[in-house]
Amino acid sequence: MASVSQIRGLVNSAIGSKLGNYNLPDGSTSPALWVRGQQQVPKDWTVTGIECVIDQVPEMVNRPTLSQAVFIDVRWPIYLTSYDTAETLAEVRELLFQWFPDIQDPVHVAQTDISFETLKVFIPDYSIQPERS
Amino acid sequence: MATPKKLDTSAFDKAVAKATQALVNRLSAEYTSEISSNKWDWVDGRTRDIVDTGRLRASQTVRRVSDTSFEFSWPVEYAAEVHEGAKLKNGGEWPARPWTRTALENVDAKSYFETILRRELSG
Repeated sequence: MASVSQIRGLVNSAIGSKLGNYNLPDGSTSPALWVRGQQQVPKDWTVTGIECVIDQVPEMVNRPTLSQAVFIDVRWPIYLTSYDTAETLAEVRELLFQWFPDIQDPVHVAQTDISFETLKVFIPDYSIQPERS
Repeated sequence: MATPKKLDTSAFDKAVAKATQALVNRLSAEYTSEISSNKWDWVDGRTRDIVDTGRLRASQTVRRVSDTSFEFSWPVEYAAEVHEGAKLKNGGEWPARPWTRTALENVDAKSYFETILRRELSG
């Protein structure tokens, strides 16, 4: 199973150049790619462009086998939001699909008069736990 | 040479169709129940149901694609935002309230279908 740092690195390689920025209170900026878990995006930061958030802890489902081994299906949820109403997530979506052809359950919600455009996908990861003696 | 006989699957097909319809009815009730359930985290820190005007719940539609394929939908313009959550342009946020996923977790669809199918086949 990959670590969240590895997933972050892969996602950054895939779509990092398309992401927007966090604008910090001191005037500096940071790429809008966040791992959400122990720390949320600080309330006093603002976002421009496209933000990508990765959950620090993935979803996991175990599948028993005929032996005592189990398959563990791990899925990393990735959330994208376009805070620029003139910029769609279509290009980022295509890049993600090209980098991760086995991507699962994409949910792409268009922007409305009250909400921004969002895209949620799951990047699958697999783990096999051998039998314990 | 033995004459080939055509297998009559009509009784089985009928049982499958009945079991599918029963499962659809069960899921339909479960989706409505989940939308009405006071279990969803809301922005005020409390829990509530997913009913404001009732349009979303009332919009639940089942389309029969075939005897063994049915499609559920909630054709209101904000259904996806409610289900998936949303980042609002006024700075707020709606949490995800995935009633379809929780309903499918609540109902063991495979077991339910099997039970009805066995009952139909055994007469």
